[in-house]
Order: sequence, then C-alpha cells, then structure tokens
Amino acid sequence: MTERIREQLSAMVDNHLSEAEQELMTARLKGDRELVGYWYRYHVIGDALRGQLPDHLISMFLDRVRQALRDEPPVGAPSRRKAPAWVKPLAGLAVAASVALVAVLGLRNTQVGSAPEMIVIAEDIQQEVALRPKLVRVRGVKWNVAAPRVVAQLNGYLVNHGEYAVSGGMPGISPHVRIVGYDTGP
Amino acid sequence: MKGFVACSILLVTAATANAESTDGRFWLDKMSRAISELNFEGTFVYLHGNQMETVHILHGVDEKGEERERMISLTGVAREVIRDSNHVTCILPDSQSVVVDKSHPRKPFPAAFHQDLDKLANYYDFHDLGDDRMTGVPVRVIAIQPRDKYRYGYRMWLDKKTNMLLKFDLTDAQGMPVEQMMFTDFKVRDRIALSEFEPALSGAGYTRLEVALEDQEQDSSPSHSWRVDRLPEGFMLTHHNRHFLPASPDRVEHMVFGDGLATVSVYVEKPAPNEENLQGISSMGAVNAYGARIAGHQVTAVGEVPEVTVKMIVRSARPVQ
Repeated sequence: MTERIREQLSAMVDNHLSEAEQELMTARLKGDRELVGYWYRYHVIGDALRGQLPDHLISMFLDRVRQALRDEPPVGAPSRRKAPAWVKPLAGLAVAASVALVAVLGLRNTQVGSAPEMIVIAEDIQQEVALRPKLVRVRGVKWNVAAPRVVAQLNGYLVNHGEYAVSGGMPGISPHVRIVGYDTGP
Repeated sequence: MKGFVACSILLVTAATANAESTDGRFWLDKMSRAISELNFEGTFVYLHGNQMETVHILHGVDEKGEERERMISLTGVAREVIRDSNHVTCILPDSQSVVVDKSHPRKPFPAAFHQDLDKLANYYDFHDLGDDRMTGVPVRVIAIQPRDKYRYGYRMWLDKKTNMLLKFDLTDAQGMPVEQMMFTDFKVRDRIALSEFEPALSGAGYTRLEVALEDQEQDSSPSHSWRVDRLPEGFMLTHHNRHFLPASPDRVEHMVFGDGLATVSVYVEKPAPNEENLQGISSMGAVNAYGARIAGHQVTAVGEVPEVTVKMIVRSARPVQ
C-alpha cells in the first residue's frame, strides 16, 4: 500500500474526494483488508479529535492498554511476585498506583498517511502517597493452605459470606474485591 | 503515628466548627446511597499486607433499581467478578474455576445503624474528621474505631461532590490500616449498557462450581443442630439456615453473626472420609478464617474480623443436644 493511497483514503474519510475517486477507492477497499483497517482507524481518529468517541470504544482501548501493561510491567516496576522483603509497601504503592492511574490514551499523530499511535500517560501521585500512613504488615496475606480442595472450600465460603456481609454490615466496596484483588502467585 | 494523631486532632477541631453531625452519620448515610445508586466506573488499588492489586470496577443500576457490578483485576492473574440481582459469578483463571453463588439484595446502609447507633456506640467510636483534600479532590473523612480487640475499625474518605467512597481503610484497634482500597480514577456515568457487564474472561474449559437451581432454596426449617456459645459483646445471630454452597456436596449449616458493622459467618458441614479441611487460622487480606473438627463436623468461621474473634467463635461452637 502506498503513501498516496492512504492519503486518498484519509481524504475520503474527510469527504474531500471527488465522486469518481470515491468509487475507485471503494472498489479498492473491497479487496484490501489492510486498507479497511486504515479506513476504520481514520474514522476513529476523526471521532477522537472531535470528542465523539463512544464510551464503550474508549473502554475497549483502555482494556487493551491495561492488557499491555499487565503483560509487560513498566521499566523499573518491581515484580509483585518477587518483591524482596525489604521493598517497603509504601514504595510499592507509588508504582502500582501510577500504573493504575494510567490514563488514557490520546490519539496522537493526525498526519495523513500515518497509523494512529496510542499514548499512555501515567500520572504522578507521589503527593497523595506521601500523605498516607504506613501499612502494617499482617500475618499471612492469602489462604495459607496448600490443598486445592481446602482453598476451593474457603473461596466458596468467602463468596457466600461476602453476600451476607454486604447486606447486613458496613457499606463499602464489595467484599468480593478480595476474590478479584488477590494474587495466588507464589 | 504521631503525625497522624496530630493531623486527626486538627481535623477534629475543624469538624467541631461544622454544623453537621460530628459522629459522621450524615456522611455515612450519603455514602451508602451513593455506592448503591450511582452509575460509576473506576480503577482502584487494593492493598493487603505488602501486596497490592489494581482493580477496575463498573457499577450500574437499571430502571427497575437492579444493581449490576463488574470487577476485574488489572494486575497479576485476570480474575473477574460479575454480580447482579440473582447471582455472583467469580471467574478465577488461576484455579481454572468459575464459582457461581446466589446473590443477596443489598440494603441501604444497615437499617439497624440508625436505630441502634446508641448500641453500636458501646463497641465503636464514631468520628467526623472534617474536610480534607485527596489528590486535589475535596473529601470528608470519617473514622469508626473499635473499642475492643474483637472488631476492626474503618476510615473513609468521601468525595464531597458525589459522596462516593474514594478511599477506605480497615484498621486495627490501634488505628493502623490492615487493608486499604483507594480509587485512582473514578467517574460517574449517566448510563451503562448491559453489554458492559458481560464478563471479559470466557471461563471456557474451567471447572464450574455452581449450586443447581433446584438446590438454591434455603432450608430454614427449625432443625438447626448447631449453636455458638461465645460471641464478642454486641454480636447477634442474624441468619441461620442450611443451603448448598458451590464447593460443598451437601447442605451446609450456616450461621451469620453481626454487630451491625462487622459480620462473621460460621459454616458447619460433614466432611467426606479423609477429606482435608482448614484446621486453625488462615487469612486473606483482612478476612480471617478459622477451622476445626468438632463432633465429627468441620466448623469454619469466616469474617472481616481479627483472628481472635473467629477463633473464639469456632471454639465455642457445638451441636445442640
């Protein structure tokens, strides 16, 4: 695919192509899946620039960014699974929270002919972290039992108990967060 | 710690100048409603011990008032929980299982809270710590401290605009956090499409642990055969029934005890021959579990309470003669 074709495609998306050129481009689109991909992305860029992206699409993008983050932690981030004992919880939080604060993505690069690029912006929350009290280390942070049957039974109890705890106790974030936010890694 | 105390005193001083209640009830009531009534989406970090996880949450209420919630972990293994008015479904790739259980309707802030505040005040101190700022957002800080070692305390930072809980600490008797959750991004949405509550994880090929529909009816016949003799002061039996659980082959006798804020469940089941069960203490975040074999049954207590509480409860459990 040449640069020129992509320029023409972009022009079509912006309604700047003559009718004859549009017909040609439409015919080309029918046989070129890669070009269809560009056609789609140019529309997304246009919508993003006009602030007209539907929420679900933004959330799809976010999911993909998060997936990428999950697959490849940022440089300098300590691995949670292998965090040495001396790593202070406070320091760890700063990393995790800034990863979490990921914010979205801008769609940069609006030059005709270039594929869109996603940008991840991680915000700095050092200020907030500095205000936080230190964490107390609690003994055992997961079901410290090895047998899968016992873990399954405890998980069953925990899910069931969560429903009672939330309907009859302190309101807050769902107790099921412990099921989600719990890493069984070694 | 000194800094925190000094800070608290300052905030308390600020709060006393405010005309609103100084025990935080006003704000807790607003927060309770915001959590159940708002359509929102956000990301929060969840800290327990020295571990932390990032979780994405989506919460919505439809025209009929039915709540839906979807949470998925963004770090580590992608576990997911979907909750609606009928079921709570947990998709757990690490154990290759899908756990499905019946959900229970969430009530507004416990009705008991308003009626029994005087009673609760015997076990907890309520404080409105006044206004503060969190990453630039004006918040109200509320603290509830336990008066004994049998329950945890709570510290909450509420967004003054939406009343939403932006940060939540579960604290020990000394006021130190044992578990924390904090939103790192949060937004209120007008409407959330049903499709957004669909699970992202397929769970295909996983072991499905589910209670059959015909078994979901609870047996509330009075033939309960177990009781607990020692409870922390203020804890009352709130539910007592037998029901099936996703990972248990037979009906499990279930007792729920609560003081209005803290809740403990006690599960009693007959183990299969040579079956391995929890013996002693185990914990996950601020949840403690204690299990023991009593009179040929497995008795397990689970709750967001200190170790001493689940231990005391299980050790005093016995079959009714």
